[in-house]
Amino acid sequence: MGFARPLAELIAQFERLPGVGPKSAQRLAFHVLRMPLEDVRRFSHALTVARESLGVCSICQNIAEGETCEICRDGRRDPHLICVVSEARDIMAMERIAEYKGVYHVLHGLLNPLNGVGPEQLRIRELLARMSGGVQEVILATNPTVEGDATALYLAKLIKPLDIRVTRLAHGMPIGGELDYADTATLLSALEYRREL
Amino acid sequence: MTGYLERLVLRNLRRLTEAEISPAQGLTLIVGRNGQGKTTVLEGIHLLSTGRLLRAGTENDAIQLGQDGARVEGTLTGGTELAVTLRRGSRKMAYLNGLGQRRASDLIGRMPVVAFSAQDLSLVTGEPADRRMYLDLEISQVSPAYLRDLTVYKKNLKERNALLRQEEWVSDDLLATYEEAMAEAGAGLRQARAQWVTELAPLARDAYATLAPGETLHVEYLPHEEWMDAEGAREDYAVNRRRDRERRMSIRGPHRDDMAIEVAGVDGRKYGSQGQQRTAVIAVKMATRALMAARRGEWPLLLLDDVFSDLDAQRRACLAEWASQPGGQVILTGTEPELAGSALISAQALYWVDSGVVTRDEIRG
Ligand SMILES: Nc1ncnc2c1ncn2[C@@H]1O[C@H](COP(=O)(O)OP(=O)(O)OP(=O)(O)O)[C@@H](O)[C@H]1O
Ligand SMILES: [Mg+2]
Ligand SMILES: [Zn+2]
Repeated sequence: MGFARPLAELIAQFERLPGVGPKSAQRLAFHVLRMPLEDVRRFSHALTVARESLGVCSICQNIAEGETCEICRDGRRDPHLICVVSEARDIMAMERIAEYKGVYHVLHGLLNPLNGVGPEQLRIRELLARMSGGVQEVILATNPTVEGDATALYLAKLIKPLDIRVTRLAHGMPIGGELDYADTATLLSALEYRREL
Repeated sequence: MTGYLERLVLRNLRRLTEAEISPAQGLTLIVGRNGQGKTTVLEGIHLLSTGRLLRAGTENDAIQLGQDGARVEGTLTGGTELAVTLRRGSRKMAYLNGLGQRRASDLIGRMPVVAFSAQDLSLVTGEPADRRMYLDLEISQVSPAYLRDLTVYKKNLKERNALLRQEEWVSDDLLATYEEAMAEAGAGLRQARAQWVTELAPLARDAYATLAPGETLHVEYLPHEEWMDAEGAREDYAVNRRRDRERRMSIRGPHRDDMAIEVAGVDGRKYGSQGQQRTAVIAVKMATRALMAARRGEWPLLLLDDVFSDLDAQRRACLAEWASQPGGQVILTGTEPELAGSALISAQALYWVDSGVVTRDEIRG
């Protein structure tokens, strides 16, 4: 005997979410059945509102409520300095340090031909379109992985000929970390990018 | 200092359901009839130190039939603990002092080994890929920078090949991006390989001369192209880009390198006798051990699997003497203890393997 139709449908919907398998989907669905109706209404309302009112910023491709995001709308931000990140959540990390006064550009991924991700799949065209507006520096803040390195290198190839300064976030020893415990790759890169005192 | 392998535990690896060994600081002999599990012990050690088994085939094949997984643990003097687990249908995992590592290869260099088994004959008889595997494995054990360059090179090569296979047009800029990374890492590989073989060649020649007086062994690095630095590499990749597009893969670079191994003046692969080929490989491995010791300041663990079977008495005696020299840890397998000759006399630990059960021979203390 199967589940009642509405329940089966609910389980099927949960299963479509990333990281939710059949078992978790069932658990979540049964949980919903036990929730007060008012809570369920609020939950489904939040889903719809979030989806309807949030899109990507037409300038920087960050998650935005409306046409542009808060950062792009903020007049105190320097639009001539652009920090390029792979995902919108990387912006939150940068914003936590409250030091950076420029704006961002979100690529929504990293180059990875093996998985079928080429320049067309990323928001690179949108980034290049911003280069005409008097941009002075582009900071490439992609992760120090093969994919992050390749993406940064590729963008540098496209942007440098436009006479715009291109920099990359430094990587090395974590602050407060002990030499003893650093992994070999981190130590190697810290050694290669050492600086004069 | 990394120290000796003090204790080894194997679980569900081939025939060995549960085995524990405490190797001596010097020579340990592992003896048993064919098919009892001797090589498996060495395979376990090799897996711990390099993330790879000794023989060809998938890691799944090494998991005991009827079991879901296998585990190898090793304790080094000083307390460092290494472990590798194999699991059917999932990634092998490596642990350092109980901490999961990102890749199994992250253990490389913790317990350097030099191994000689039947499989290694491919160093002379096999394809260029077999010789590259030798270079990559041995140099990685003494140079983390080499291991890093190798990982980066291979990944970028795969990405570039994926681009070359695509149906849609790929821009020169995009291909050049991967060439850039390959050039930097590739130059590191080439320079390290050249230096390694330059230092290895005279050691191998001497080792061979000791094993087979009157015959010479010549070892030489054969890079696929002339370039040795990143600048030359970038140019070479760029110039050959069109051909690569036509062939739909990267046809040039360090992933095509080779090494010449000539016995008595001729290519060992084509003309060597079985004994000569075997002797050449043993000489290269002896030289490798000496070179690793020179680079690291201590002997790597030496694993000798059934080395005595194809050698004449004179070579056997020579090898036994070499294996029993003080200073390094050696683990040696054989079907009869007597085959080890003088090595048996200096053995400090003797284990018998029978039907997958490993027992220590207490008589020999
Ligand atoms: N996955 C597996 N599960 C169970 N047994 C296995 C598995 N793989 C191999 N074996 C068995 O393990 C034995 C191989 O062990 P090993 O190669 O260590 O033997 P050995 O003592 O070195 O023999 P030889 O002297 O012939 O080289 C064989 O008997 C083989 O049938
Ligand atoms: Mg064997
Ligand atoms: Zn924005």
